[in-house]
Amino acid sequence: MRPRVYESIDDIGCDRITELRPGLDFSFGLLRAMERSLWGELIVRYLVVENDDGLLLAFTPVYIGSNLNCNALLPKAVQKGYDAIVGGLGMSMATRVAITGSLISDRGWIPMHRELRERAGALKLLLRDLDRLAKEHHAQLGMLKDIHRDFPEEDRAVFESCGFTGGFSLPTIRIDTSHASFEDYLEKQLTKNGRKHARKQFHKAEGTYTLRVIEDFEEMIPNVFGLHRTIFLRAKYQFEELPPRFFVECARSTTPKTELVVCERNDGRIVGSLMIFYDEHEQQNKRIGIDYDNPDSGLVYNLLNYTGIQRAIARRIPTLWMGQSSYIPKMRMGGQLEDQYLFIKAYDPILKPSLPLQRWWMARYSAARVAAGVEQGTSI
Amino acid sequence: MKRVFLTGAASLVGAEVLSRLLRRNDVDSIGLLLSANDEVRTKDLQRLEAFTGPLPAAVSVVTGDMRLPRFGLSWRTWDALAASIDIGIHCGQREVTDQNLDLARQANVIPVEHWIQLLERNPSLQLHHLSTGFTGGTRRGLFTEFDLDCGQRFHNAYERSKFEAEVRLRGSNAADRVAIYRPSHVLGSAAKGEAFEFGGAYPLLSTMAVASILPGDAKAHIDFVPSDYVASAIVALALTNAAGTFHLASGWESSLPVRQAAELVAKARGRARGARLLPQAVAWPLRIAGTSSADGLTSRGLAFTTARDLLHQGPVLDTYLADRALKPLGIWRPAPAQWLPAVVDYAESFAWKSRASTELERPPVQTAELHERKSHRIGDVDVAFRDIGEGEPVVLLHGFAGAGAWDGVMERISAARRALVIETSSAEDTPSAEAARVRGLLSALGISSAHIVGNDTGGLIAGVFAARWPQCTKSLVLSNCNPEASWTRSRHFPRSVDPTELNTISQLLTQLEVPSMIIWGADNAHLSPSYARTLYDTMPGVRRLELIPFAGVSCHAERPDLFARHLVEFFEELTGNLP
Repeated sequence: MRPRVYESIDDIGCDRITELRPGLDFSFGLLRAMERSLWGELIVRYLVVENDDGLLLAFTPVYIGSNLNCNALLPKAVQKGYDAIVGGLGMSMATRVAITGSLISDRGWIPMHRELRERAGALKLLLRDLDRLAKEHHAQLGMLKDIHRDFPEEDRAVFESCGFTGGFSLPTIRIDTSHASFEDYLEKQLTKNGRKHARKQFHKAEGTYTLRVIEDFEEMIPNVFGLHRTIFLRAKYQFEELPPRFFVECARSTTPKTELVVCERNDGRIVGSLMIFYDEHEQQNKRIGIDYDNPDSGLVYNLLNYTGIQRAIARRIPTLWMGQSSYIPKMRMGGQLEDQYLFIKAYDPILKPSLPLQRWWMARYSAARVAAGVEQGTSI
Repeated sequence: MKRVFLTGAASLVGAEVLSRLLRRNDVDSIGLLLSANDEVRTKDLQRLEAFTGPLPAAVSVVTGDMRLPRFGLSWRTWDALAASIDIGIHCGQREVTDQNLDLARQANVIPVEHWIQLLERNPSLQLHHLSTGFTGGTRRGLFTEFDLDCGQRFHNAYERSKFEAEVRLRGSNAADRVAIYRPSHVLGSAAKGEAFEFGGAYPLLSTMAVASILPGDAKAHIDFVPSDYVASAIVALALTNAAGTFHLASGWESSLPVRQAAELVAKARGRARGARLLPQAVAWPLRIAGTSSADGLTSRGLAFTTARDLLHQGPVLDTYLADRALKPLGIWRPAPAQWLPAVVDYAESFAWKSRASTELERPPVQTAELHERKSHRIGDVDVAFRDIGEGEPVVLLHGFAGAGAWDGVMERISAARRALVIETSSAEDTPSAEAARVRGLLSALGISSAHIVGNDTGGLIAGVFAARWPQCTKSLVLSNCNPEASWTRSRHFPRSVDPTELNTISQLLTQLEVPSMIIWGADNAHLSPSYARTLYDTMPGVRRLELIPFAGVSCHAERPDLFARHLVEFFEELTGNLP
């Protein structure tokens, strides 16, 4: 077993990555789209563990730079204070972070070969390279982003043993789409109120809105990117900014497949857009865009998501991931919250004392606490 | 074949645009809006011909001022202009990075409103508007061509006014016929380093060229773009009827870190090393601006403020739509490292001094006559007044802002009329008493009738005057004055104006048949424009209602050009002179 660092996903190759069954978030197409649309000083490297025959055993991308909003989950006062310091003293005061994982993952982990026996050993090799890269690029923090609860606990323990402090990250939402039909989903997956709400949405849309699925959507990007951008600019947690180029690369991806659901008003105006990633095992409603000048923006949001669910059911895809935001409507659609964890390591001794505080603060993002908030009608 | 109308031709980008339009064989005619001032216009034409070569017959000149309604043109010329062009290219702007929001709005927002009116008159007209990438203001992060309001703040009035202009365009009914170009820091041409003038980013560049220490972030990237690329892009997209927003920038990959740019520029100037960069928070208290030349572009203050705002990481401009549109047309942006030295060489050869004085910066003409104060005894009071010009008399009555606030209007209307500013400063007298005194003064001066214009509490006096002596009132103009509103808090008539008298004045106005006009500051915080509407609806003699944008209760002082323009139009309308 030997570690290696690649500078481009193309150097690793699509087949070797697909062999690991990395899931949508670590799929070749998505990571390549991210790599080709990096902006600012952000760079990417791929940490890899191979066997002596060159077989890929584990890999993870690492993004290094200071133009990621890593404070997004921290208190507003911290975010404002940080902005003031960087504004006054310049980018040299910005915190450089080495983030391991897929930047736009709905469900993070570290893809590993299913026959790999020395998982802990492989993880330690990856983390050793992460430390080395972080120091080489003067990163002050190392971060393992959004490790999903399905990632084995003993593997997560390896992170702690390597000096990382664990805490909760925003939970993700899973929807069971292993239903015979959309009607079946409505009956079995949703509450009575949820069912009524879903049917009402489609009824209200009749005659006013049309939903269209576009597989080759590159030419549509100038028409819909503004809607996605609006969602980002309004988002409470703005972590990574995606330029239009990301959508272009996604449109060109074949591994995984992608498609765009667009919602058109009867005057021809596009008022909503949903980018979907899918393979035979799972689907992600990856990025949604809404025209907030349209008075029915809430209705359009629901229509797009329900259409995404319909698409998954029609393709017999058993699981749909809905991402880490807007928990109230997504739970009404039958979504289940699932815990995810963040592991942080301070390379800069000044930042080290803040880690226990961050762990304490981020306890509020546990699925149980978020679910309790949703029950009371308040989502984080 | 296209017919193009260009504003701001005598500017860094405008001249390049004109130069490229002249090379196109699919352009039938080119109209240029140049200054109505003969001296300025002649000089601009000479400079343009020196830059582009002799202007062919296909180029015509329209004289006016883009800050004035209808660009200062008559209705007939305005209509003819609207009907005779297919493409408008608006390069006129005030690029000064100061905090003078009033000047910036006059030059950067008001003309855009006039363009919108032109777009409304000609439904097939396309507008191509030169904005700036720095509408992103203080945003730190990605700024895409799909963004406008990201909650950003602004370093200066230039950025804010360009942002406001974009908001106007995007909010207009003609938004789908508008293309907005947002260049980054514009310098001379990449080909030879030539520049029509040292506007755009030249003050910043010269600062970097001469300073030894600057407040800036060495790691931040600074995005320069050549004027020939910007102009080529605008002309090519204009002639393909493009719409949308386009970032004309080098992009992150090609743009230079500030430290590297400073070194490159300094070396091109023959210096051994570039400016040292200190963080803003450290440099500010020290006010370090490095070496400077007092007569050039780089005075100490300019060096500091430009560097403070621009040598830190601004928004990163994404160029997706521009690349998508321009690459098929064969237009590529060259990397700054390749052309920046030539630009510095060229500027150096002119000692950085050929920056054109822009008409937008010219202060109003001040004459001794304007300030000559006279007085006449009416009853037991000496009434002070100023009296200039010849022709129909126009009486200007002031309110809380004082008689001096009429200077700008007085100067403008006195070219063809006799303007009288009468000081009504007695705090003890009622509007009726003041009106009687005005009447007495006019009689003493041998004036039998006049146009009566009143602002604020001066409007109350004007109203009473018109009601009591309609035969002496050619017309009445009320500005930011409504008797129904609560005037008891007014400091101008602290004791004398009581609700009974205000009611009386209100009653008089509702019966007044004298031809009248209402002019109101659109941003009047004390008396909203709804009061203007009330007057408009209740006064039988009212012919016109005009709102002055970005102005408050003293709209005559804030926008004298516009106020005077409305007055003159109204007076000409009454005499049937309006085309």
